[in-house]
Amino acid sequence: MMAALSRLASRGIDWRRLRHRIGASPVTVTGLVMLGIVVFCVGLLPNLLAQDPNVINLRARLAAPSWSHLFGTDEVGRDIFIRVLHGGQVSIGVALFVVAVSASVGTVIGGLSGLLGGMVDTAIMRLMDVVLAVPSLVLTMALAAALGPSLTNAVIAIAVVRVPTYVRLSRGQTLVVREAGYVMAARVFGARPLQILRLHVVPNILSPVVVQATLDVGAVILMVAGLSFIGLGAQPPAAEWGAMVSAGRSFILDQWWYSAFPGLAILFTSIAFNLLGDGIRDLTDPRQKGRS
Amino acid sequence: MSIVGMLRRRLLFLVLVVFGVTLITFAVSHLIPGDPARLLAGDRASDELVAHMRLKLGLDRPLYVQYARYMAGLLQGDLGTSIRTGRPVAEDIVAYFPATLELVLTALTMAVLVGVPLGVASAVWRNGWIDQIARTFAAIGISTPAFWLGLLLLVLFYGWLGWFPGGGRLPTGMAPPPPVTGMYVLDAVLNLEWGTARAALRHLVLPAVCLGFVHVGVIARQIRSAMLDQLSEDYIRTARAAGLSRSRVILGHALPNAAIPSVTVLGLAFGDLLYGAVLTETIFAWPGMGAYVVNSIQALDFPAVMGFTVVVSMAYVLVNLAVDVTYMLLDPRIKEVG
Repeated sequence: MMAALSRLASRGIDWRRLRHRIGASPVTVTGLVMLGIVVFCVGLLPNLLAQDPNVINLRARLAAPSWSHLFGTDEVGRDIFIRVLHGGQVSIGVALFVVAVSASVGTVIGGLSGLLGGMVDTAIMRLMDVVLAVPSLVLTMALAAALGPSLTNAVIAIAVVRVPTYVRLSRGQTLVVREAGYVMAARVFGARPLQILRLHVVPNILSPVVVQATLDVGAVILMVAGLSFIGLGAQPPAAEWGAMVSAGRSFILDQWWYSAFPGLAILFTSIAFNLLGDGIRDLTDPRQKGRS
Repeated sequence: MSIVGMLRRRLLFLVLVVFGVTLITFAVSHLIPGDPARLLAGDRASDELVAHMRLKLGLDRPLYVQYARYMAGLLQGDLGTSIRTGRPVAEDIVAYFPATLELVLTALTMAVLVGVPLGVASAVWRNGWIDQIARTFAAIGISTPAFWLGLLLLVLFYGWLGWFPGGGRLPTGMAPPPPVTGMYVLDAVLNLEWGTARAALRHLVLPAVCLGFVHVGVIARQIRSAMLDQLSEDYIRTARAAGLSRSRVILGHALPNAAIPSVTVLGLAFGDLLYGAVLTETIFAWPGMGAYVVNSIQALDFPAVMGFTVVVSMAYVLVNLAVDVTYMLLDPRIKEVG
């Protein structure tokens, strides 16, 4: 996947033109800037500050936001700002992992399904139809509940339910690519389906998959947080955004900051990914130019 | 394809969906090491009692026998017995369903009432300030964690301002109206109990806003895009040239045509609303199916969770089928594809 991506990137992209087009799209720029802030806060800041998110300080229990504790403290005096930074590594890391896994698996299954056609294709697509016909969030919740409450199980449940979207997307794209001359030629020369998939199909269907994946990251962050909120994801005392909002629930009326700031972090990050995804879609889809 | 043909095919698909959903969740649930029999019997129960419970629940049978039993029950409307409440799951769901329906319908109505005008305005004044606001609003809407929004609404409107109650469906001590539909506001109005209706409505506001908020943006975006398609059509220019006023053309001609494709979005939103209700009901202590399923999850009450999933999935497929049928009836040009 990475190799294909870099090959795609090196295939003579006109960087100046791209920069100009991104610059002309305020949505993309806003998304990029917001994402930059997130990457700085979650990726770099925890290392620069070098503070343990789990240090207990009972003298500073439930302190309101101040200069010494930007986002206040929780019921055992842990600094919420530091915990939000560290929690981001969990929440965003998990979301990126889920999206990467489901996009890769879905692309391979969808690509093969489209290439092979026939009975295999029909069987795979009917199965996907069934999964897609069920409200995805409810199915994810049921699966996570069935697997038992833990972050790992939540990740598995979300990834499984998100696969069909990518299968359908990449199959549709593959059906188009399949008819191209170079794929026919590769077939005539006896290339195996997996080879054709890797060399000819995946590089050509990657861009809609990447758009979908970018848009998905925001949704998955919300999903992970939601599952953690109802007790099916990260377990306390883990610093994860949804679990933190949930932990602050009992204090919400008097210590609003406990839940408010982790939630704000979810909102901010999710907006960043959604704007970026929208922007990329506009850039890659000429039909959408000037539309939503 | 005729409507009858489509109905037949889609109902068959419904059977497939129920089969698929139960099979997946059933298989997964039996991979976990948790022992419902021990949970039900309690921590300090003797081994004999646990064994007896296991026998009673049929957990000693092979997995496929358990599944076959479950499906046989399902065909007769039996969703098994809840481990937590000890009552049949189907009864529990019927009892909790009206509260959820009331919440979901109110949220959807509010989202449509705000989302449609917003979408129309942003298509008419495309790229103007109202369009920018609507689009920002949509982006924020789909990115907002509903459970967090609910908590903020509680802090602001219950904790600080005191405008709305903090949870439940009615004030403690107030008797619910005589049940007709199970939806308190409607029942109270039908029984002319205005005081109860007002109280129930006040309790409904915050949860419905919390649940509907996300969908305002989704609906506005859909309407905007459909309106833009319509506004560029020839008949709009013709109507304008014939001397009809701009507002008449927009509201009388373009909007009805734009609304047709948007109906399908409502059907799809229904699934998200049901999940959203799970989170919202938990926060606002709203005694519906969502709160029921969260309590069941925390009690490892698997029959209840599975019953909820099956019922919700069926409802979702049926609602979308109804939407598609409406869609075909509204627009005779449409033949079902795929």
